[in-house]
Amino acid sequence: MKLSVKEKFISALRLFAIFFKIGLFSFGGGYAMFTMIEREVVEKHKYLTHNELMDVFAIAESTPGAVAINVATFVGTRVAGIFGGIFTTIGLMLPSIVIIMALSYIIDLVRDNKWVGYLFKGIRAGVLVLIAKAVLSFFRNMRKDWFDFVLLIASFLIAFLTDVSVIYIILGTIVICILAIVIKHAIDKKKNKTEDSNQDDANEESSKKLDSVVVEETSVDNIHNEESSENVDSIEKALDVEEQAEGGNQEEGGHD
Amino acid sequence: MEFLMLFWVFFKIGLFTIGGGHAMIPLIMQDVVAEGWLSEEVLIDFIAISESTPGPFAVNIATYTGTTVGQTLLGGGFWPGLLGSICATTGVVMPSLIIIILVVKLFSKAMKKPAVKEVFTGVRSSVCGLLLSVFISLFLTVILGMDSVWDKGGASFDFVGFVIFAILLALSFVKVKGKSLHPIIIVVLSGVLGLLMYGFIPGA
Repeated sequence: MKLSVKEKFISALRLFAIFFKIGLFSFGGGYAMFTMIEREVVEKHKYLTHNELMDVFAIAESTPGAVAINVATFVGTRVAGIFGGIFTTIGLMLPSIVIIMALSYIIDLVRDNKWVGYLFKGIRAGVLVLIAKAVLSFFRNMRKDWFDFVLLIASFLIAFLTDVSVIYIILGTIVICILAIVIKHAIDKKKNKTEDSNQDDANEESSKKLDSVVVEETSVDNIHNEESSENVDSIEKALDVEEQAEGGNQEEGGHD
Repeated sequence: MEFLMLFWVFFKIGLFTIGGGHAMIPLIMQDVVAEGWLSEEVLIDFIAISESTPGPFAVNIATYTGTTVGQTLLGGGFWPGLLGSICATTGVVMPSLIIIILVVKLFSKAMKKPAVKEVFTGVRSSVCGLLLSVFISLFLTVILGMDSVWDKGGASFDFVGFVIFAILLALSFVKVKGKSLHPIIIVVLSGVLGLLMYGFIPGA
């Protein structure tokens, strides 16, 4: 949509207020914010449709950075341009900054107290539980494929046993994944001619890739539907939402 | 100069966080502890606080680290803390801002290509391994009192801590109305258990 500068500024301010509210009242970030963002952005202000928001989350998840911040920037930029993106991000950050700074003073004051020490000793055990849960949730949403298990185990071993920087491990993974895709693609091209029945998975992948190459020319709607339903699928998995019926309806186009 | 470092370290953390806030923990563990800004234990407290205050985890933990580092560098007070927190939070969101604005303006279609998705799926598998490594090293530090896997001397098993961990881990799998316990509840419960067990069990 085309907006004048003044209109853009006004919607940027409104978006700032919306995301300030979201930052103030949502705990945990990422998917914990989904319901809140949906209520404000989809239901109340109608900036995006439900499916568009699902797509935004899917992209936010597969770009670097915290999911919540990515979503805020995405919605802001989409609705009101670059300034909108900056405004929503600042709006989302502001409550955190104020609250955390206030808290950090209080904690500095009481840190040496014996009982506060006990409290935090207990909390440390609790954080271990939270991190264990995070590992499990990453594992649950992971593609269960020998390739991904190798990536998991290799990253774990390198991180745990050596001093190699985490950043290099992630960069290495990116390079390996790109190489794997290129190699898979080349193999698929050869095997496509011989029609191997064992190749169901790989063929599906390769046909998808081919589809995406011609996406601009041909059935745009078709592809879009298929992909957004995949997004819907993965997001609902991550959200632990118990809307199996809805997910089941939309699963037809997706895989797994 | 140190403030620029703060910005830069968090910029790198923001840039390589793939798969949401928790994916950030291995990076923070490594960089912030390596810079000598925070000890591992203080960082764990920060994780707890970031989980139980409103707002995105990433911004919370960046603000916290920034405030503390700012105060350590320039002495206590409001302004050093504010400066530090602004450097860290700007750093952590800057990659998001740049990348997302580029995606919206230019590459909206490219992001939906299966190949791009596949790469990020792979990265998330590797992040799972990285988080597992963080978990195990924290478990060694917090519960077993070891500095690293190789450290056999300083080991002091924290039985109470282990019990709290086991209780909460079991509780965390309990689902009420299809929803598992909220992280805040786990943090609060662990704090209460800590107060009771360390405070009132003799010798703990």
